[in-house]
Amino acid sequence: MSIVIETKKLTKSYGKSRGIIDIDLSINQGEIFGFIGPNGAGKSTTIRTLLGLIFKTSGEAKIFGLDCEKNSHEILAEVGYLPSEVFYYDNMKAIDLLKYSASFYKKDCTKRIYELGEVLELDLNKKIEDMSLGNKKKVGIIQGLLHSPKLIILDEPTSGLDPLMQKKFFELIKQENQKGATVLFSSHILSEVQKICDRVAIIKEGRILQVEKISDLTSSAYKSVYFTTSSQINDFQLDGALNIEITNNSVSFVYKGNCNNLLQQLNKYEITNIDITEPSLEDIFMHYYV
Amino acid sequence: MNVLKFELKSICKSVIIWTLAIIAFLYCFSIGVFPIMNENADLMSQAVASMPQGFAQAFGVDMNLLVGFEGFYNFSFMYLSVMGAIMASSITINVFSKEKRAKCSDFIFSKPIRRQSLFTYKLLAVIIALLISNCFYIIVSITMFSQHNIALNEAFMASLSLLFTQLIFVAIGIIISQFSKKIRSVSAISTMIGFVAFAISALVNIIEIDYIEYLSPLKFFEPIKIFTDGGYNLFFLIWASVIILVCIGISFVSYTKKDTAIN
Repeated sequence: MSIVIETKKLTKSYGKSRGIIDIDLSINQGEIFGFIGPNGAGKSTTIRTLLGLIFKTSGEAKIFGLDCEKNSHEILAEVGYLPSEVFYYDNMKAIDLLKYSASFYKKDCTKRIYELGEVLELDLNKKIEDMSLGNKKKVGIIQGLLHSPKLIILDEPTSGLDPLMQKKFFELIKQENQKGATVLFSSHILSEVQKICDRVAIIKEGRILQVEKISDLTSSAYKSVYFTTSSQINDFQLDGALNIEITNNSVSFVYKGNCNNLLQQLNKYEITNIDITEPSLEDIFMHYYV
Repeated sequence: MNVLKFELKSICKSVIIWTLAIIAFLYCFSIGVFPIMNENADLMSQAVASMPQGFAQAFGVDMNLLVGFEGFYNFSFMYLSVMGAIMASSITINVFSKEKRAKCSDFIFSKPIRRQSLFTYKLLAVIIALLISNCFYIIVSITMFSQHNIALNEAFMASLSLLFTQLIFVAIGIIISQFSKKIRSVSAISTMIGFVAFAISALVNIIEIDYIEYLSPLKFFEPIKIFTDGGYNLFFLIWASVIILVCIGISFVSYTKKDTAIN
């Protein structure tokens, strides 16, 4: 399987302020790769460096084996990008903007523009400045996908889209992925990433903390535990317990470890109620963020 | 080529309006004002003599020159060049700050086109627009000169003054577009550029200090030099070329190397 995106020790600093530090990423062809972290963690900086919108301070960044700075125009011919905030030229109809966008690619994208417009229920003859945020986002989605790119880079793509449109959007991305496109999907909404991604990188304060398969993260190794006791609990300690929250006589935490150890620890309390479930990604990731 | 077409289309209306306005000004001055001034030269001289000395100088009123069409054209050029400066800086700033104003730099820079090419096409669009505009201007201007039996080559050279002056303001417009953090109104900035250039020109007319003309782009290509010296001042020509090359060169490097700002 060939590598589509590869970064080694990729660093971008804005003068004294932090950007990204030593980012190592390797995204395979055909993958849907999630990039998750809180606001300001460095997701957009990484993406913008990959796209050649900003220039790295040090390290290496390659897409399709080509250098992201030296060969950016060759790379961008096969990349579709949807920025987190969509802004376009004043006084332009959506169709004119999309035709202008299509004119940069050496293929006829007219049919695809109208197909995507229909799927996303967008009036292409409307001026972009008169559109709602959600509809502007749809224009962004179409301009990112109209040339059937081999790599789709999505930076917080669902903001402004209603749940129904989000569902359609995910279906579109999955279809593109099934056709062979690789997807880099940045978000701070974990459930989105869980829905669609194969692997995920967690970024915090400019550094990649972990890269894991979604299936591993959500496998039975992690348990979400909630129990209440007849008396007040002042302290709870257990190896493998994350995000421990104690409220009067109830305790909740995410557990990764030997189940017997968990049961032994719980046995020390007069339990009145207990709930052990599969944790959400939010629960699993929370300890990276705090 | 798509960028070139797109940019040309975006400035088309503005270029037509400015071209018509400049030609209308030239026509009205040449056909309407010049014959009146010429016929009433004595009265005009008296009127000018009664003005404060600096005032007449500042506005380029020199009765020794105004009696002939060449001198009158030079007087008109002071105002035509202001219009030309506003036009050139307006279309340049419009083209070069378009993405910055619309906050859509991400859109254009994520397309498969080198930044160098993008810059070149934008510059080309501005130059083509000015060349087309000046073609019409030169035709009308030469027609005006021909009515006063002025040699075609001199008339042509004098008419070219506007284009050369405009090229300086293209360079100024590019550097302003590239280094301004925010551009709210293209028309406000370009009008300001025009008025500052006019103010400097008026000041240079009054203050008699050596080399001060080098600060006034509106005076580099004064048409009167064609008729009095037989051509443009070589030093001004070199100085104007240096300004153009330095402004465009610095802007080009910045355009191709600068991080795209986050919206």
